[in-house]
Amino acid sequence: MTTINDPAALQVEDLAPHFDLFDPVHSERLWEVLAYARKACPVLKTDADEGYYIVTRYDHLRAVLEDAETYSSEQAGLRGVPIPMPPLTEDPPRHIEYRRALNKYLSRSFLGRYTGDVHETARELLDDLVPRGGFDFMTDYAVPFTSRNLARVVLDDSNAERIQRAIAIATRISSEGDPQAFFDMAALAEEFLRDRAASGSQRDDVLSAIVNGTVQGRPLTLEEQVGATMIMFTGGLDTTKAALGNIARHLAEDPGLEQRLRDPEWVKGDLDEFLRYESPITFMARTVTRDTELGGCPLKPGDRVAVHYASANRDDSRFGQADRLDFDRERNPHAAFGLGPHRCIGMHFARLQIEIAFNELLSRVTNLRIPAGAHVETAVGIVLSPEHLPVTFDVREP
Amino acid sequence: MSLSIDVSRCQGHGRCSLISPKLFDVTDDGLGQVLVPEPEPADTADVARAIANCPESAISFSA
Repeated sequence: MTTINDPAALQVEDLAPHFDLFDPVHSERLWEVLAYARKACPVLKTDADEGYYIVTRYDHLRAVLEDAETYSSEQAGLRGVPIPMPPLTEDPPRHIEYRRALNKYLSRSFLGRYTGDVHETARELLDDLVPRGGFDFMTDYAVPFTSRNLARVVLDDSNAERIQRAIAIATRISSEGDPQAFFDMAALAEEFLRDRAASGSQRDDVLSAIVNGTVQGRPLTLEEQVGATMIMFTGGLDTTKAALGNIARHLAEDPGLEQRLRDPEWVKGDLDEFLRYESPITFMARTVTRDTELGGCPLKPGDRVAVHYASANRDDSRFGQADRLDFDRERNPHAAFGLGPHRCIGMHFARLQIEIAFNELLSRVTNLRIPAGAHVETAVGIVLSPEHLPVTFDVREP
Repeated sequence: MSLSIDVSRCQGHGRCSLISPKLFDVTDDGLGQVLVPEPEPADTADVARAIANCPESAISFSA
């Protein structure tokens, strides 16, 4: 790995072969590097970390994500995964079995029973935040909102104390990226699972589906159960939070957008343009399993590939004037929720939460804006999101 | 002309159903479903939008 002294000063073609997707200084030139790669070197080889290939174009992204035989998800995180987390880290033939067991519990119709709870979560938070006159949209609203909703839907437990512990750990994962928190969550997940199994409950929800699930004719091991619980829970934290934050930032910076978000139809089209423009998960990873070729670039077994959803969603050959936020575009088959069999299982839940978060917020406030002099800190790496988003507003008359 | 979803391509994104809940639904299994295989002329624009916005290119409208 070549150490670069001053990434900001390099020509883009000299930075690209050493581009580090996790480096904050490199990330200041992320869009520039990706635009360069899409034109000049769409499967961009970088010597960052142990070396990997960044897939930047939409058509190549789709080719990778549709071919699980050639591109394995076993190490779906570019810097690895702490534990196996099925179905995220599964390949055929097991992958589809996990999806079949879990899809139902995150379907729009199943999630309907939680709509009231999600509204209630938003209201409780806003009851406290609105009278303050200003708050940090990320840490004070988006993080607790998504943490509580996830605990409710994935863990759905009557033990209030344990739910509170889950929310607290989720908050540490989501706001601090604390690696210890991940393992604390795994330990808590094990507690939830053992308890649910021992209770003999025949409840029909995510946790029971994991406890009772089978793969290749045999029950899931405890490790598989913990991994599945972990990804179902953590998978919806940073992701939904990021989408909320990116949209809120636009809302706060562009007064013209408020009317658009007050139209209930916004979640059926405009939301997808927000997600295309700033994809909350910018990349995940695959491992090449056999000799192959992608965009003229030869790949061999063991090669690591970063599938860059955010770049694919800015591909001009797929989306006209892709670098413009344009709610009127005719075609928006974006890849923000992924493509192919690993398509985000929590997608409907994310949409539901986003819809309700803004519905409740805008019922209470108007003219959301960033206070003069306030600083919006942005995250670097896998998640594209503000870390902090100070906002103020005018309270709506009841 | 008949509206159909290629189930081997469909991944249940549900964009079609958001564009037209009249023409499409997403089942609990996570797959798209055509509700109206023979849409009316008034639905033509929604048919075109659904096809254009399916991330998996799974929808077709053909004789």
